[in-house]
Amino acid sequence: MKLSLKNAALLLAVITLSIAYILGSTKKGTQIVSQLQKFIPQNSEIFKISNNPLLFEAHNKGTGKTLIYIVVEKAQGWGGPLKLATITDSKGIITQIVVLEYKETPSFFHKIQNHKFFQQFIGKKVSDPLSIGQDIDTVTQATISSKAVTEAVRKGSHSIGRKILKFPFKGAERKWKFGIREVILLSLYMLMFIDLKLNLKILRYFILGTTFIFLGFYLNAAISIGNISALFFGFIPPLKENIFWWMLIFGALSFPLILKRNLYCYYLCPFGALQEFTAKISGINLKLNKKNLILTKYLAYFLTWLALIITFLTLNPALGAYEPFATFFRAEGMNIQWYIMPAVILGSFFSRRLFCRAFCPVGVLLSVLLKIRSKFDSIINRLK
Amino acid sequence: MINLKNFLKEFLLMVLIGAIFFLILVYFYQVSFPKTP
Repeated sequence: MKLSLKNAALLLAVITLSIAYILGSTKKGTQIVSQLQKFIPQNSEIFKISNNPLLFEAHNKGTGKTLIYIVVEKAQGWGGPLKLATITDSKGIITQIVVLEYKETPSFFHKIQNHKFFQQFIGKKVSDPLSIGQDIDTVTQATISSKAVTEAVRKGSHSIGRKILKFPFKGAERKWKFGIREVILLSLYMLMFIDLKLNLKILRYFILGTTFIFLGFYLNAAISIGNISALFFGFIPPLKENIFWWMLIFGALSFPLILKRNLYCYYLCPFGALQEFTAKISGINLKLNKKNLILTKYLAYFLTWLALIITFLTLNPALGAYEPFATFFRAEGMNIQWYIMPAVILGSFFSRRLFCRAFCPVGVLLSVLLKIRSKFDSIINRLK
Repeated sequence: MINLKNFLKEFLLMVLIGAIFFLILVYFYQVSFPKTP
């Protein structure tokens, strides 16, 4: 069988990605006890008293009196699992929250820390509800991360309450959360399907304008490669409290697979909307020649491959996300991202959707899904 | 006959694309090898 250059590159990409995935997965976890050492009182020793959940007790070496309890719990954040230790005194009063591992975008996580979000837990009893909306407030610009922290603290604290201190209490139940953001997204989907039937230019611009404000500035929820690569690790937030996340991510992924169209990029991506507006403002659309067009397409494929390799090796989906979405919509980002974002926007004034064509990894992954679907269709047709 | 104006425009756009590409590579380098404080 003759192997074309394109197929050889594809094969190489699949092999390298698989190797990176396996290497990343076999990486050893962090040593929890050594991480916790500095929080353990002097002149005390630590004992593990349970594995599920991971629970420790520290005794005074001399008197044998219990000083603190430490419980380690995980919850699903935006970028992946978040692991933290809740430390309580011997009576079950929370004295400290220690973050052991997180995969959220660093700038967002710092927002939670700066907001003194963690301080809300200090002084609360392990038998308290420890629930958002009851005795804990979220940080508005980092809702999913705040929810995850609260869930991990609640699960851990309630285990101490139930297993050790024998407090008679009922754990808070997960409730379905369907609010205004889910309603808006659903309306956008409906408008999108109406436009698919009627094909009205004005309606598409209305959808793009809404998504620009709603998914862009209001929620900063433009789908990034981080959201998709997190799926490879099984990082999926619970449906009941994150209907919006499920609707957005699985919606975007199912359009190419089921409807054979990449509707997310065309209608819903707020950064795509931004670029359409800049192109409209300038009225310029420089067309590249065929050779350069192909080159830009391969550039996007190469960057997507690199982002996935980094994600798989570091086990951190947030690191692979090189898109300038958060830098634009939330003014959040590392130094270098402050050069990428203006350069991309400048380019979009001269060439329509420049970022989408030459750089966007989400576009690449969704077009791969389209290709998978058409391959599947051709196999089915051949079998008929 | 090559249209010089078009050629220049396309050339400048490709330079910009190359610059963005380079900046993204720098981003990848920075997140892969973070400076320890």
